[in-house]
Amino acid sequence: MPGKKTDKSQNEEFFRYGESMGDSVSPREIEKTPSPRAEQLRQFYFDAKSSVAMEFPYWYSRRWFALEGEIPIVRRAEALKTAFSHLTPAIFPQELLVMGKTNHLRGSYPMPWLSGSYFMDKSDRMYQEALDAGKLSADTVTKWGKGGGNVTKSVGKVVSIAGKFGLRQEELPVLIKLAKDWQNQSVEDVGHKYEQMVPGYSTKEAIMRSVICMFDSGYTLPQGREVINYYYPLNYGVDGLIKLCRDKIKEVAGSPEMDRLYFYQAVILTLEGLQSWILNYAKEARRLEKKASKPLKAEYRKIPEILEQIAHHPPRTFHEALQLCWTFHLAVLNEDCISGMSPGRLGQILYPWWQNDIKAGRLTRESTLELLECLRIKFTELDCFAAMGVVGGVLSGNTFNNLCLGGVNKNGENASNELEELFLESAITCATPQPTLTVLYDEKLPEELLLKGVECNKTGTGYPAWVGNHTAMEFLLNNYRAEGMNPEEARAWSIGGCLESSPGCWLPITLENRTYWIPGGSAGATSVGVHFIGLPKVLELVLFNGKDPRTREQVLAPHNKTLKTYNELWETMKTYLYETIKVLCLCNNIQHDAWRKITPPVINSFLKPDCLNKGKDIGQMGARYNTTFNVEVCGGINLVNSLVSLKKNVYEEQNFSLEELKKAIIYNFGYQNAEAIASYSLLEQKPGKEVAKWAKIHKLCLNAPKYGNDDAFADEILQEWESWFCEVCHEFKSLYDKPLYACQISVSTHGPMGAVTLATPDGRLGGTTFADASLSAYPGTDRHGPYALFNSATCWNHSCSQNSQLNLKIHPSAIKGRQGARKMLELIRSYMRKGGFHVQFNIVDSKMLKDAQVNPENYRGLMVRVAGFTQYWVELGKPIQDEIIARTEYDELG
Amino acid sequence: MNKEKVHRACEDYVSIDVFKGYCHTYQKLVNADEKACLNFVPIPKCGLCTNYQPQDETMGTCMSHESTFQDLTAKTCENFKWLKKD
Repeated sequence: MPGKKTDKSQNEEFFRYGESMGDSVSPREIEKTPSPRAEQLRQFYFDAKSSVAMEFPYWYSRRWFALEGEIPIVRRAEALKTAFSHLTPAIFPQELLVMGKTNHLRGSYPMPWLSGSYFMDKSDRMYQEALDAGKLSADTVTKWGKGGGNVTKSVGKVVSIAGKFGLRQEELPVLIKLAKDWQNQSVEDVGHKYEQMVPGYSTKEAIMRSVICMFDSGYTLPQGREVINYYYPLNYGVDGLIKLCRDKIKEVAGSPEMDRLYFYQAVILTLEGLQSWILNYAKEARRLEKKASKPLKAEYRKIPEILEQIAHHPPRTFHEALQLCWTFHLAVLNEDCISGMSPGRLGQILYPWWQNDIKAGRLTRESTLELLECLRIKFTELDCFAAMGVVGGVLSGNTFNNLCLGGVNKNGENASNELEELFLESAITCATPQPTLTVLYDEKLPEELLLKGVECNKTGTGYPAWVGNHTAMEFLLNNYRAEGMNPEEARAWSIGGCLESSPGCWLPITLENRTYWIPGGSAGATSVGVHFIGLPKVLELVLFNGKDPRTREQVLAPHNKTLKTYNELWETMKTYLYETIKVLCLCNNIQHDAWRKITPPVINSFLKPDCLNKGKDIGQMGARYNTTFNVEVCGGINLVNSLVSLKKNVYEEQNFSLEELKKAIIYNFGYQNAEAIASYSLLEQKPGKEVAKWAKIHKLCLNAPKYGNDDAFADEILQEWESWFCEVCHEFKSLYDKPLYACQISVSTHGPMGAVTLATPDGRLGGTTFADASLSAYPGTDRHGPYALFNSATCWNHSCSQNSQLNLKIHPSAIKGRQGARKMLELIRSYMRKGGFHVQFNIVDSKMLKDAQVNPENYRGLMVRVAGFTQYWVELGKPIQDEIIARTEYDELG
Repeated sequence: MNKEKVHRACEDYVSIDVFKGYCHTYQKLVNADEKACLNFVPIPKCGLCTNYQPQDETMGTCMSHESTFQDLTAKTCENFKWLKKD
């Protein structure tokens, strides 16, 4: 069909579906500005570099080592209390919401009690040992963005750590000292000691060295990818919670199950630490008030009034409730190394206070908007300090605080409200990466909310993402039914992290004689276990008899099969992947066991139902739901396309032999190495001298059917893959003796995992980035429009997996105006009605991205959607930038 | 080093990052290591405390036995006592 084909145009380095929109760069249709206050705060953020502060780890460690012999969870709580009590308060002018992770605006810190090797000097023995064990291999193939807040080089009195964070030279000795103090006592070291007892452990090390798996779980990001629950402090206040624990201690002291006593004592100690932390901020605000001139004086006066209330009692107003939520959010993030601690359905949680304030005239829509803009800045300031392979290779510097809108309430009716529309509006006026937004799409949601969501999409920020409410509830019911979940409770779900379906629950809040059932998280981390297996790399092992041609290491035992039939190849693929998951699962269980014993989660536990009732922390299955470990995979579409090509070219049509294909792969189809030319997009690869020799095979590989075109041949292979993978995950058990489940997202792992993978049978060249997400088409291969792509994507049941992920890039002009908005809403509806779990959009002219790559200084505020998260363009590594540019741009939706 | 009158050692300095911060007194961004103004008020740090015993240029002990570092801000430390207020 003329004009409907996906093509690479002559002058542009991206694929397009539909007619070109011309040579000029199209701006985003919707552009609004924040309040002057938020604008100033956002400017502070733009100026800020990622910075490390050693206060917290210093005080934590000092107290910890002073209490040798104490009950572990009490010792941990004492350490947390001391650390929180000693944080230096930092208040910035114009802030309506205060408090931060550290005294730097964009601060974070290492947690050597989890892991210390990755921030040591490369010549240090700790670093070398971790490298040999494959624990830092992903770091070596991860690339950071050079701009934005990343401190990529040491300058003056600032030392660059892990390629991203700046540390004052004055604090470097204490960083090294603490890492050494924790040596052999950290979660990483203790876990490593015992994981070596797992049968086949050497295979696990080889897997990590080859970057077939991205990173270990238990000591890197042991919590997160979950939904926080603010209910207990909102309803009881901190004093109320302390009293509750003191009463519980009276009940349990000396009785069987003594661990409950220690848990309650730990909660009291930690809450006391949090009180000191909050009140130190109040004191600092009073100091500033004394010195400030008139307009600021009044603002500084209000801060301690709010903080002194929430340090002891439940909030009375929306502003206090918002500050409380932010404070407890920070508290959890300071407790552990966490990404993806999502606020959940915050507009529904805070609605009671907001409604009362609006009725009483204490708040207007404008003043609400300003507060919500301030909240966006606060969330955006969050940084997570972890190894380069984790923060860069997986997170791209993002912290994944997902705020959800819509869905249904306890009774199954529309749950959205006016406050949620203001959350959307604040994301339009004050575009920042955090919190990202997700609409829990349900047919019962009002048209106004949905169109507001589309309006927000048109700003080009990549949010809200759209997820199917019923598809997710079906997954949750299947996964948590054995632990007692019913349909009513399934409705309380939300997204944890970028896209992890997480269970929730309803709890009652009574304000002004009216009871509201508010949703909140009810499980610990819902994405821990096996962190990202590069599927095309496993297929590579199948083709090369278990050996990694890149590292020349024998990773898995040779299968010694001739792979004469497609069936034999497919069975070998399943066997190899099974072996890979098995050994990773066992090792990660040990790491998580070390985590729960050495650094039991106290804050997250007292927030999560039903830990306070049971007297158990999350690590002891105190939370309501505990079937929360998963197997994450990446590169699924390249795997499917490769299997399609193998089946068709090698086995059915016999266009070339497997041996010929393997040679072509080794020679990268005659192309140069992606790393050598510093480009990771299929479009920009440069042919080598012998390209003609491999051209025929390469063309056949490229021309084989591809996923995303409503093509039965390709879609059947996707179905077969999904049926097997979603089911086989249940055969592995977490340390809580619960089955694992499938998690199919890419985050940023498709960059580094593509970097270590040779050319693939689908024609993708070696070292280039995989297709993003789990259901996005490989750039340029979706040739029949979005609806054909949707048909392919929904050929399997998405509720069998914790998630699936589909990203689309649309040119702004394709959805321009009210008619365009409706067209886009119909597109979303169509996917949701087909049972699609998730779709998200980059509404951007690809030419703008190309320009931003060449002239980053002109695009400090430009944001793009990667895969489940939005990030500043200048902070993304080039492999991911290249992949986003290359994605098919839809200039038409028909 | 702790007696250096630079912005980052001043009580009215709030850190944007490791390079710079905001001066509450003059309401402007300032470089962390630049010389402070006449309104400089030192912020408590371990190196300015009577309980601090230096061991080398950066590290020392607190209360004779706990290891600490002289640049650690001690604004929230219950045991801080000014060594000598400039």
